[in-house]
Amino acid sequence: MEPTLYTNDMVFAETISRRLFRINRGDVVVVCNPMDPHTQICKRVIGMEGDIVCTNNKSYWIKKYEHIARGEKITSVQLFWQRFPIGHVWLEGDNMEHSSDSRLYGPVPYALIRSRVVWKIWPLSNFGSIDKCPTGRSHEN
Amino acid sequence: MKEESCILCKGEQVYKTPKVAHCFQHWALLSGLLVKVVIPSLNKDSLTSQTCLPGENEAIYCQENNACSAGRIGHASQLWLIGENVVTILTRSPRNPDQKMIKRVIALEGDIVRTMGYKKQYVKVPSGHCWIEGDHRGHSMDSNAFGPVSLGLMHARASHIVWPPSRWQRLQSSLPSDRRPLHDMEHMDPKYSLSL
Repeated sequence: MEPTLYTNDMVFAETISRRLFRINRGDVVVVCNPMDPHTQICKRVIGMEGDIVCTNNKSYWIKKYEHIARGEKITSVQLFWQRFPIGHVWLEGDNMEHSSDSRLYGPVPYALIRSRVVWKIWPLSNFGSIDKCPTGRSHEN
Repeated sequence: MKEESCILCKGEQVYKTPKVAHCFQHWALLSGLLVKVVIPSLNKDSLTSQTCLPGENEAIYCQENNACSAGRIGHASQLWLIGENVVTILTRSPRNPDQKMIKRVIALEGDIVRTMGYKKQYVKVPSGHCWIEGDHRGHSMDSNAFGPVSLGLMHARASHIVWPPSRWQRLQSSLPSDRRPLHDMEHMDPKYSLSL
């Protein structure tokens, strides 16, 4: 999640938004790892159900569900409603090159979201609110 | 048949908790217990007496289970034995996060399952996931509809039916003999083994 969050950073997260279903695109959330239920991961919500996600590499998951491919470097994957499961979200880390996220294991069920990160506490030099997505991904649709 | 049970027989899972039970639920959480009033219908009325899974308007006693530590609690108390005994669990639906459902765990990660009605005939359950099925096959919204379920969605383990009193019983952990996961790839049709 660099440069937004670094390892050993301390943040304040609230669990009310997920109960009220107010998680939006661009929110940094703490999610129960779908691959390992004992751990939690911190990613940014890029897409909600019904969105069309544009990604820059053909991950293993996308290869199975690819319907439309345009261009060489940018692969636009159109996820039809009957394929992109309802009740799921698309997560991506801000550090696009070294992030294992939905590009690896596909959309994540919404119920796995544990909390929404609101404020950075430690280190004090980085004290403040969470920045917007540095790659501008959350504004693509 | 009531209208409610008609809707439920189509495969919809409905979870409702009256407000009274909500208050009791929060109190019970403090003491480590969790009681929910469940109105799912995994079976038609005629089958409910045959299987021990809860039907409509029945309350069950669940052992509270933090979703993130589902596996840890299972191993510590030997509730889950991989591949052998299964439990009925209370889980959030992966399609609708507001909905809870009660299903039976058929297979855990690494097992190969012969599916019924899924897009692939044989599925190897990925790590961190499990395969759940309802007892009422064919009319159940379970893994045969939406695939393996992440263990992080597990909410609690259902252990007893407490209401109505005529249905007092302990929910047995039993795996139907024809739903055992395949441990040997040789039992599978060779043409399907490549697609795993």
